[in-house]
Parts: sequence; C-alpha cells; structure tokens
Amino acid sequence: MNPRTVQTPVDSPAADSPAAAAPSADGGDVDAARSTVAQDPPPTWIEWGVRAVSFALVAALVTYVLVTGFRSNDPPTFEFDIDRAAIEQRDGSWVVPVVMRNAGDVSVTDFEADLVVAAADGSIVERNTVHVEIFGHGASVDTEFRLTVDPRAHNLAVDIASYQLP
Amino acid sequence: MARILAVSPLGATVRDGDGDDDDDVSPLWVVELRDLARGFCGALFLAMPLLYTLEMWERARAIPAWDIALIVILTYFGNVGFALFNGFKNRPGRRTAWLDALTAMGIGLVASAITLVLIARVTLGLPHTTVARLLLLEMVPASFGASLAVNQLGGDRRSRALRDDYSPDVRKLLATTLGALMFSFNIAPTVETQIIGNAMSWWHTTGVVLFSVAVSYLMVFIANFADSHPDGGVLRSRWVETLVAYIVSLAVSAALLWMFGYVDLTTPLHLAVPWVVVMGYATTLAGAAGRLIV
Repeated sequence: MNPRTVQTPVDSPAADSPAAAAPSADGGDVDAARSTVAQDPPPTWIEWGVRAVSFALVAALVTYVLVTGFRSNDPPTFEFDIDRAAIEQRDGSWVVPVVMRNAGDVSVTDFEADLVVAAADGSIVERNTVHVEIFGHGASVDTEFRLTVDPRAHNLAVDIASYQLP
Repeated sequence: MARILAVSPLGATVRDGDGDDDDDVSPLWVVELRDLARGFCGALFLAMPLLYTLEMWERARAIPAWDIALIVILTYFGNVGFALFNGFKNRPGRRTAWLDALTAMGIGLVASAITLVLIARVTLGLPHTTVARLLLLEMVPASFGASLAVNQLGGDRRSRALRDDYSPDVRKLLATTLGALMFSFNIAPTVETQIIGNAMSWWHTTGVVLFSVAVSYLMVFIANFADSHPDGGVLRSRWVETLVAYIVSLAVSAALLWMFGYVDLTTPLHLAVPWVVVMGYATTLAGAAGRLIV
C-alpha cells in the first residue's frame, strides 16, 4: 500500500505514525490519480456493494429488454373499447370515450384511428380521426372522439387508419 | 489484480475535503456515502429537465432493443470519459474511472427511478419492458450528471492532476465530445430539431454550418472566456482545431439523433443532413465550451 495513504483507523496503534497523525496534503492523490482502476485507499465493502448492485441493476434491465425485445414478435394488434354509456354532449359536440390498447408486442408511431358512425343501412354518417404519436406495445390510451351528430342511435366502430412500424 | 480488488476495513479513516490542510479526518465509509450523495444530487441536477420531457418517455417505447443495449454500452464509456476529468469524488486519489462509471450508472438509474415514480411516469399499470426501457434511457443523462457532480456542484480542486496524463490533442477531442454530449443531451430527444431541419433550405443549412464554425472559433480563441491553449500536436493550428472539433461535434450530433431513433442508415440524406447540421449547431457550441473547461 502506498505509505502516504491515510487508511489507518485514528484510534489504532498505528495512528501514532506520522502518516496517520499528519495525513499528507494530497493523501496519495497525485499518485493514485494516475490509476483508472485502483484507488487509494481501497474502498470499503459499502462502495464495492454499490458497484455490485449498480452492475446487477443495469445488466438485469438490459438483459430483460433484450430478451423481451427478441422473444416478442406478435405484430401490432389493437383493441378498442367504446364506452357507449359515457357518450355525452359537451361544448356543442358529441363526445365518445374510447379506450385503445396495443395488445401486440411491437410499438408503433403515428397511429391514426377513425371512429366510424354508420346508419342501419350501412351508410357512413360521420367519421372522426384521432392521432397518437407513439403507441407503445401493451399500452392503453384513453381518448375521445368528437362528433357533430348524435351517435347513440347509430352503429359505432373504430377503424385503424394507419400507423408506422419503428 | 489484488490491488484492484483491495478492500479497506470499515474503521479506516481518510482526509475528507477539498485538499486544505484543515480537512477533517473522517471514517472512509462516511466519505463514501458523501460521495454517493454528491453523485446522486449531480444526477438529478443534470437530468431533471429530461426526466420532465415528453419525448424521453415516448422515445423509450420505440427504440429497438439492440439499440438500447448499445446505448448503455456507449453510456458506460461516456461515463469513463467524464470520470477521467471529473467524477463524483472530491479526491482524485479515490477515483477509479472504470469502476466509478459503473457506480454513476447505478446512481443515475436509482435517481431516475425515484423521480419517475414520484411524478407518476412509472406506474404499476405500465408494461415492465416499457419501464425497463424508460429507466435505461433516463439513466443516460442522470449517470452523466453523477459523473460530473464535482464539476457541477463544486468540491474539486485537483482534477488537473489527471489532465497531465493525456496529450493536448486527446484532451481537446475528448473535451469536445464530452462537452457536446453533456450540454446537447437536453435538445436531442425533442422533435424541434427535425421541424427546424425540414423547414430549412440548403442556403439555411450552409449558413448554419458556417456560423457554427465561426462561433466555435469565436468562443475558444477570441472571446477570452479562458486562456486558449496554443499547445497540441496536430491541433496546434487554431483553424485546424476548430474544423476538427466541428467534425467531432457533427458526429456527436448524428449519434444523439440515432440514439433517439430519429436517424439511421435508411434515412434519406436530404433529411438527415439538415437535422445533423441543426443539432450540430448545439453540439459545436457545447464542444467549444468543453474545450474551454479543460
């Protein structure tokens, strides 16, 4: 060990030594600064423990991301839940709450979905579009479609207009 | 190897402070906890704007798994670079760049996790893989903050000892890279770079290139913020240093845009070039600031 290092407990017998009683101004810093792997004085178990935990955390997260990223190959699959009971008129528009979920294993960007309001004979009464910048896999998005007509007497369906794969 | 893996007893004591003669002698474990606290505060100090940035939360979901792994590896080496110049320990003798970089990443991870939970960006309803990606991405700036804690929040008097180990050219290139990386990280995830780049003509792009180089020269050699260093080998000439630094800054710019999934090898050049140049404006200024600091 570098003799200039102040590593001796103050209350130990060696504390009477000049090095311990009067630690050098640099405490071995200048010489130790040349090393990028060893430090002076060596760390305690606390610092080693923090290093070990840090490595374990980072390695575990990276491994998990890699494993899930390559094991999961289901294409984007979207589920829509139209809450007909919660349809209401607000600020002059009819608001239809919809919960959208990306049930696949792939995130998409620039996702666009249309709420299609259709009459009983199948003719389209109105269509409204929402845009989601990034739709992560497994993510749910609560959104609202705004319509000019009362949709309660019509058939409602959500169509996927477009999205981009990453 | 034995020296690398050496362990001090918990009762060991060490001088703690900024190197003055009146520094206290403290138990080493207390000093280590102070170092960790310093790194933790530095991580939050630098990363806070990005912890509150929408694009960071969203890009984490879209970046491919391999890219995340590569980003983490590059982050480790970036932290080694920061730790060589700075670190979160106030005594150079207790710094070990290759291992402190690892600790900085752990600190950044924990600091990011706590903040993201507290601001409800990480919740129980979020898919686990999204949480993992988000934490790893936010860890990048937070770990840089931890590795720069002493520089950000004071407490260093003798990091110059390290600088003597590197040639002026290496120092300048490293400082340009690290400065560009640190100061431009707040801009990189935002879409504004693409919005600006898409709106620019080739005249604008050329103007930004010339102005970036001119401001870099102005900042380092004219404005006298600090003594400019005439030393150096290949980079002894001011204009050579400025141009090489600009190329390095553009490389950092491209790397940051790749990191957040904005450019890759399939991106058309007519889009990628203006984006890299616009981002390069920021990285050039930041790289010049980095060269002033060393």
